[in-house]
Amino acid sequence: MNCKRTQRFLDRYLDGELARDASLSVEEHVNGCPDCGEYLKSARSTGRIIREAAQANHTDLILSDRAWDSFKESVNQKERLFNAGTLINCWRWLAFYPRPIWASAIAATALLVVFTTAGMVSYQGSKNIHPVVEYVDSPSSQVMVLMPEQSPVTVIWVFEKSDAQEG
Amino acid sequence: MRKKTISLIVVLVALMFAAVGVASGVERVNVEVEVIYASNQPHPTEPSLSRLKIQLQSFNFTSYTLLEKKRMVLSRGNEGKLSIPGKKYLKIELEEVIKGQVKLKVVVLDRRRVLLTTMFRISPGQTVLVGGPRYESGTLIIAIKADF
Repeated sequence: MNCKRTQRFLDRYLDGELARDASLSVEEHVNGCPDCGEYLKSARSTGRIIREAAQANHTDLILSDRAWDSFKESVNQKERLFNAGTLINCWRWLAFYPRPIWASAIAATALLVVFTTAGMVSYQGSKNIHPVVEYVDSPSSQVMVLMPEQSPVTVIWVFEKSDAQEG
Repeated sequence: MRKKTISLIVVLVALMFAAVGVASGVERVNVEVEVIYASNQPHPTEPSLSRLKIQLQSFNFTSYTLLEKKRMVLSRGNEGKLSIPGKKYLKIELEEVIKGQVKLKVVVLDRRRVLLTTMFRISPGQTVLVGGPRYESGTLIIAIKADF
């Protein structure tokens, strides 16, 4: 993990939102990188200052009953949207997955499978009942091509000269 | 990160080519040829020809006898040959594989004289019957089937 990526994930690391593997990667990088170590230290102290300020003025943060109900309704609405369907859930999972490149890879592979399967199905669907004769030639005889309705077969019949003479 | 992205793209492209190859890259085709003697003799039709019973109903012969049966594996560029009774022989060549069908070129020769040249597209399980060449007191019917 490089500095840019580490710093992008740092807020989520501090909030404990990262997966275990990703957290370990961040810690590993921060331990070996003085710049990122300093950045983490600074972010931690900023967070502490905000928390302390919020605790000192907590009386100002108490919401009225009406505002609290509105807030709860807003949260419930978001939850309902989130649970609306599996597809939305999947998309959210893909969108918030720590490595978007893997999400793109999974989506591309799924599309590939869908298109390949659709192509194979259309091949089967476009089958002719009878074999199709594209070219037929006989230098010395007459030739007839038949496709009988009762069987899925194509007949190429050569009338040799003796046949034609006999009529 | 960049290395991982590049390797991932390489894997995806490889997967794409593999899928396209599976969908359309048939390289070898099994062709089965049966040479049947059709006549109006009072012999019953051979049980081994029961698979072709419906197909042979198109003709007005009373008796069908299997003279020869050969399976050949064809790939593009090589041709299969088969001797037919009456000093005739058959050449089959795989031309191409398109949309789940194979295109075959078939030439029937009577000694050195070309009796018939034809090219047809056939799907797995379908049969082409080439008939007409005279043999003894009847006619030869050549059943050609492809599988891939």
